[in-house]
Amino acid sequence: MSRATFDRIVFGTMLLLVWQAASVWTGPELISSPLLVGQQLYHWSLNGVLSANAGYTLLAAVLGFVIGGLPGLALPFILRKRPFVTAVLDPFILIGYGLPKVAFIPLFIIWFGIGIWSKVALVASVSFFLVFFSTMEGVRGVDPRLLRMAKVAGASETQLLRTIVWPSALPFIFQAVQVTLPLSIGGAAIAELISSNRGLGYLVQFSAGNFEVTGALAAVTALALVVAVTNVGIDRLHDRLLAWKPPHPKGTSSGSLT
Amino acid sequence: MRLNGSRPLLDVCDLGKRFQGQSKDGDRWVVEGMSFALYEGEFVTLIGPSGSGKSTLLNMIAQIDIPSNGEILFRGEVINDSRRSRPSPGCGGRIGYVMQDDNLLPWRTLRENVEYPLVVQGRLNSETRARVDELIETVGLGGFEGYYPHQLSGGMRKRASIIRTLAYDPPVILMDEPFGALDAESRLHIQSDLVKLWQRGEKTILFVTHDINEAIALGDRTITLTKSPACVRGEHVIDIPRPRALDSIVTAPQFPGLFSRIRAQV
Repeated sequence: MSRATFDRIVFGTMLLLVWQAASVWTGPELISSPLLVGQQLYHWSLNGVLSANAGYTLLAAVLGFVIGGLPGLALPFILRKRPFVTAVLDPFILIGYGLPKVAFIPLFIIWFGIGIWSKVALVASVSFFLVFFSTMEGVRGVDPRLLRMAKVAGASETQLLRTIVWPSALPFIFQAVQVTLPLSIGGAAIAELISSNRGLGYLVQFSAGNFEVTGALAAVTALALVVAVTNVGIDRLHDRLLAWKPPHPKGTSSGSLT
Repeated sequence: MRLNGSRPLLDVCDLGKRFQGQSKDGDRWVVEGMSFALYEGEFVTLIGPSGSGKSTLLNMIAQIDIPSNGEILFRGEVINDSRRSRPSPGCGGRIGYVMQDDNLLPWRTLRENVEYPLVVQGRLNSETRARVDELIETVGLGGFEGYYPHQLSGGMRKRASIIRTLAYDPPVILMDEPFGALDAESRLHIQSDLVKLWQRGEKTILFVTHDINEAIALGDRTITLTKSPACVRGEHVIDIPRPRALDSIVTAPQFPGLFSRIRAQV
């Protein structure tokens, strides 16, 4: 076990202790204890409530991330050689980015119903802009000296995109995934809070509506676990795809906050 | 000097490059009335004050830039002139260009970097692979094929960038102060590697430097340039016989005379 892993376990335990202390202080009716939450989660995992609802939220998040993220990924590559179109689109994309997407949830419900697609729409609208801006930064940041070298070596425009622009932008694209995918899960849960009959967000809303603090906290904890597992997955992929990157100066893993 | 035949391999005729509207009196000529020729198999060094448009000159020869005046001929065929609207950089693999920075692709291993031009030209096969192997061995990079650029020293990266250009065998190679950033020791090493590779491959090299010693040590001929706008100031045949001892080139009897004549022009 590495030093970092050990310290993480210690820190996590400390958080649980603080939580437990807060629970004792206010009483479990207001802040449920970690133990009760654990029991609730265990109960839900046995009767299938956990996997069904977590699966639903994750599905909405991933669908929205892909539907919004893919155009956000492709657009910067299309705009690369079209500065005029970029200049025309720029203010509109900035306004779109600035709009509070949560305000659209009622509209998404009118347009897409209260099923999974209104959640997907919210997540997609958030993902598109985050992926777009990050990828754009990567595509714009390509070292012109590498492009010149490749052109002299005989690379065609398509080869430039594939062998120079894409790998240069990949770290930025990854950064986008690292930020956007966890936010997508949160976004899907937020959409479920407003109107849903399934999902972890629905579980939070339903439990809190019945003053079941334990249930609400258990659903939030499940959400945190889903995000944590997703982050580990992204990190693995990162290390595999970006093995060529010089290691982080302090030797911490790529998923660090820096 | 190895002039064979009368027709030059590369002919630069009355070349000029103007950048627009920087000074009050309109355009500024960076290169003007430049003419010189490179003959098959020659190693020509080009020396001039910094900011004298040397890189602009190489960029025009490599077809990265379009000249404002004059033309460049390769084996008698015009490859770049002011009427060109779509330049084809590298002139279809005929002109190689080793730039100041090594420009290795950080996501490719050393071997993949050396093979890069062959890959984009669709010429990577067992024959060219064997050539890559041989070049890697020649410059002492054997065993480092799988390393990424950030794992290599500056000198090793420089070697890799030179053999990347040699690997696809362009008849003319332009080099723009390639050893500027290296320490004296690795510089000497790479210089002798370069001479070794050049003597083997019968390449024609145009080598830009600001170091008079380097210009004398490497070249068959040294061309000096004027201050901006750049044009040819003088030509000096380096009559020091090869093989030369690069580390003690200053002890060659011809050296002091050459040095002072070139020194007087830059």
